[in-house]
Amino acid sequence: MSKKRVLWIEDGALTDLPQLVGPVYVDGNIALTVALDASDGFRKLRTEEYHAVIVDIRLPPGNDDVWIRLFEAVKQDKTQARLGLVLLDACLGTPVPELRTEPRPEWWSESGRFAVFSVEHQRELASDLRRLNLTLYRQKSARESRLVLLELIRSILDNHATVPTNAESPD
Amino acid sequence: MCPYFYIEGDNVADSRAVSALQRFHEMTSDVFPVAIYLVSPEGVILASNTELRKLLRIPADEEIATVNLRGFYRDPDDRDRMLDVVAQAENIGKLPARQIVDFQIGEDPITVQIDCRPLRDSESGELLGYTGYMIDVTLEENSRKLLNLLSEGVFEVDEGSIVQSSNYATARLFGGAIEGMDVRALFSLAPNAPALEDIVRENGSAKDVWEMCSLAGERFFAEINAAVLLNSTGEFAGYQATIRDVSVTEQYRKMLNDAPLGFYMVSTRNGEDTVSNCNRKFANIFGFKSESDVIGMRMRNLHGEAKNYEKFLTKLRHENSEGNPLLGHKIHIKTHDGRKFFIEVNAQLLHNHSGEIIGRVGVVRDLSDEIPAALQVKEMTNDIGHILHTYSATLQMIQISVDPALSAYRRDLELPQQISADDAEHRLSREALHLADSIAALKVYVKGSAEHIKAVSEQNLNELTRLQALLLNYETEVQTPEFRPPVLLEIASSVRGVCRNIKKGAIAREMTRRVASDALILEQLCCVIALNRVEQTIFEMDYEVRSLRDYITQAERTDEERISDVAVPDLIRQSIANVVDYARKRNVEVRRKLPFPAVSVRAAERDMIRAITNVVHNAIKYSWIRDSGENSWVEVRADVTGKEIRIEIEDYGVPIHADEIEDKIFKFGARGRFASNRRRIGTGVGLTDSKRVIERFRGKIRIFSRPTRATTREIQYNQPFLTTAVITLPISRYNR
Repeated sequence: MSKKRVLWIEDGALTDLPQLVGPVYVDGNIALTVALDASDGFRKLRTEEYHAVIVDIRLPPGNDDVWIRLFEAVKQDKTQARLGLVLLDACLGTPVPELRTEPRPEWWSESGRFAVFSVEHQRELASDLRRLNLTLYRQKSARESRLVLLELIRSILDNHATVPTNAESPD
Repeated sequence: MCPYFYIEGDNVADSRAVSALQRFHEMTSDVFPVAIYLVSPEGVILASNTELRKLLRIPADEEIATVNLRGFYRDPDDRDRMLDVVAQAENIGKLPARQIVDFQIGEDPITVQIDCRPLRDSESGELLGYTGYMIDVTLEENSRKLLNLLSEGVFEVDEGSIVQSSNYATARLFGGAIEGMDVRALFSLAPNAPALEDIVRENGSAKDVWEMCSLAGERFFAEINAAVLLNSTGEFAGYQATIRDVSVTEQYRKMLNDAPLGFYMVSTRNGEDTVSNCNRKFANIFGFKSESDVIGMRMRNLHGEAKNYEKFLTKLRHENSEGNPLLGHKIHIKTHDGRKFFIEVNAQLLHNHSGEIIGRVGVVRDLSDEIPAALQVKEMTNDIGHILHTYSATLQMIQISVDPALSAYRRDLELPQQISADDAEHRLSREALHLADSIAALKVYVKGSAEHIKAVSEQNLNELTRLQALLLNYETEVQTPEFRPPVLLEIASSVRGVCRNIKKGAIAREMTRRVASDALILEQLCCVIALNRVEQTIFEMDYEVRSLRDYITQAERTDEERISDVAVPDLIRQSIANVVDYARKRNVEVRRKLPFPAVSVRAAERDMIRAITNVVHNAIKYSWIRDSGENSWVEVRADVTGKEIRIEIEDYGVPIHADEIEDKIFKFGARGRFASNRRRIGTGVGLTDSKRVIERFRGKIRIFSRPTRATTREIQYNQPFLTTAVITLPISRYNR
């Protein structure tokens, strides 16, 4: 069986949370791609299709001028900027004009492929999650085990019974 | 019979008329205190009294008929002008008005008031001459001229409120002459407000600011000083007043009175301070309704607490001796109505030309609401400081707990204290291969017997095969180097799990033991790599927490207790000592360019050490991470430039974008765009704190960042930059 393509957009992936990827790789059924900032994450979303996308809300902008401008517009604070939400809006909701993508990838409309893994309490994001029709959410906390990322990915994959034909990844 | 007075024909012969004339002549000659004259149309004096001789200083032996009045006019044309006025009045059947004319009597100019009438023949109407009287009004005229030169308005009002006279300044103020006007029309009085006249009638005088209305209808504020005029029977006959426009001052006064700060002026006489002026807020602060309640009071009594007042005066004089005003002094006062609270005073002493203190001016602020808030902030600061102290202790506990495990693993694996990324990679690769080999050996052993295969189970064998493949291909499967240790850890852990699943006794124990042992070694190695990072993170966090704690609690430490001359070499040495362990952990070499100049700066030593340490720490933190080859470096150097010491901290490291250098980099919580790599943890407080401390002690800090490689027009930020932090501080002392 071909591996499921999973994109994890998380700036702490290499520094704070590398331990989470061990179980994902060892699972054997997941081809994990990591993006460390909004620029790189959005670039990957536009060029490839993924079975599952896990997004952090507090992202740095990266090197793309559009994202840098969006970041600077909110006093250059990633807590306030919430670029992860901007990115999710670009895919699932109403994108800011600079992020409109034509044609819009069809798979972006499947909100079930997306999940949020962030430090905020779910309450803080409730209205945004509702608006984007996002049901899968995990809060980062010291109490979570190293299996949390794998569990989140499996929740997404298990909820998707049918897999679109162009989502196969070459092994 | 007097030949010079022409009268009606029949009366000439009447002896009584002649006697009357003679008597009149006698009277006018000696009794009247005014100069009376009769002149020909050409101006020759035909008759006069003694007063005229006196006024014009005509010698007694000079024949009066030889004197011509024309010769006394200072301006010869004035006589003609005067006679024109007389003729005009005669034409319309009116008496001519009195006229003021300038005369020249020898060397002396005088001013006379002339009342002049033409004399005509009653039958023919022929002009026979002029008669009139003169009064010397030199003094009055000088006064009038002076009044008109005054910039202040002067006017007089009669008992009927009609303006009798005014000077030019008054006319300018109202936009025209106001003589003859009812003065009440010029006041913009609020309903039921007393009129100026009422106050003058009652008190004999009045001094106040009134809202007035000019002739053009424009409103303005005027200060009027009025004094009553009484007639010969002591009854009210009007008043005289000065008037000046105080619109600007009045606006300023209203603004001062509306201000939420208490403005005041004190005059000092014989060692006693008295309130000489203040605004309403000042009065309110001290528990009074209006300024007039406070003006004239002794400041000592106003303050209520003698000890605090003396302390304030001592501080004020001390600051004054250094040429400074006293700013932000908080003082506890007790008002006359018993309230106790804090005020903030800002005051400046006033001196006369001899340097003697004659008073002071100041501003006071009621701190009633602020002090509780300030106390709250102080409490919160203490709480946060305490919490951060607890965090430091917690970090220390974590470090102490991690250290034995890490030391044990290092011992078992024969690993050095510091292991480079390259060495770690090599060791991982070796152990992964070793484990893969162990698994291969186990598989060969198991597959050699159907019984062994059954005992181990297909499932376990397949899993071992899968894990073995992962071990052999992990470098291809896991492209990101940072992910390899956790992946290998997971693989090793899974292998040990499989080994546990194999029934005891199913196969030779040493086969599974060897696999399990090699898996344990790989697991431990991955743990060491992870714990090394934990240890470094604890180290960095400890510095950040302590630095943050110091930054937050610095406000609670008073400057007076801390500021002194501090030797720059000591500051630099101590700052470097604070970060030398951190530098070692990050494989960064801290170079010192000696000697450091033997000078001192005036600063709070603890704060300045922290400020410089933060900059050096920053330089180390953002050094270019080199996985192999020579260490990154930070260089610290210092030299004297004029009257300043210049301390430079240079690093070979992460670029700072040009548009971040000016001020973004110093903002609280800021992280550089290229420093968002999470391997460099930090609160973003360090440079903010450093800048504040340095500027507080009259220094400056600037950052310069430039690429290390030659660039084309556009700067490439994907390369190391040379970043130099330059701290300049004024030298307070040159040490030997």
